[in-house]
Amino acid sequence: MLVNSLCFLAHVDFMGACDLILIQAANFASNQDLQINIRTTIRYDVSSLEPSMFYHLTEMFSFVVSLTLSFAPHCSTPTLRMLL
Amino acid sequence: MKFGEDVFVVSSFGGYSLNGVSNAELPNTVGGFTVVHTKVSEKVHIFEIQLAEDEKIVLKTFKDMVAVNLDQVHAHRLHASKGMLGNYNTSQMLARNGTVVIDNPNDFAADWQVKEGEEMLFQSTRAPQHPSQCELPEASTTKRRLGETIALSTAEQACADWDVHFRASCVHDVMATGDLDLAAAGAFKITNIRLSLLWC
Repeated sequence: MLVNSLCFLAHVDFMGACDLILIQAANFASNQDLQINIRTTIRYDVSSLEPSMFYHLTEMFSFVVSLTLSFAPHCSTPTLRMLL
Repeated sequence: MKFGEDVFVVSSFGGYSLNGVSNAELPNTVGGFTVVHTKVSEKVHIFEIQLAEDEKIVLKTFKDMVAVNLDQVHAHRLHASKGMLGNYNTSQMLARNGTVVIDNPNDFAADWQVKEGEEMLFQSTRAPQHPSQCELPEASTTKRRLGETIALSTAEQACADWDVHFRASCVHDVMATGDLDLAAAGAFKITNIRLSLLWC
């Protein structure tokens, strides 16, 4: 069973800066735990747009961190995008 | 990342450290699994941790951005996982206590901020660190408008061969960064079933 049989979050926008625990997976492999932390950064080289210009306005800030889990049938929006 | 007792850190422009040693000799092992480094170009670096024949963790850097794919990783490895990715079984934004669902992304991030006393994993400290809260962007700040450096049509052309599910993200990222190489480099390109995230 591959990772796409279930899914993580479909979509989350976070635009801030800090150190975050992205995932903690106990007993991930060979009885060892996996933890991935990320250090997000605010980037002001992108900005919001008028809603009429782009349909995914909520993602205007969210290009730096993205998590994508694809092809799970119930993951209708297969992207988690966080903003740096 | 911390894998077993090993701490492997990948940063912008292919920078990395293993157990506190910057630019440690690679190939090496992380969590008992071999990690190899491939310098594709000055802009693109790839680090692969092979878990099994068909499973690997792939970390890529494209300039100052970093991505990681859990490529073909089997679901059984993730059922007990938690964090900013949410609950794997329910797709909910679960708080640390495992029961409360937090709908607001900023509140959710605040809950999963690395807390004082927890392992930071990074070699250096950068503000904000808990108990200081995550810094949030000013909503009114505008420095560059999307499309100012690369037109939509140009970005769409650059991303034309991307999977349809991710083409819009590619177009957005190309326009936001103003760098057509992002599409060509494939640092964020999703062509298979995988878990991908990127940051800078």
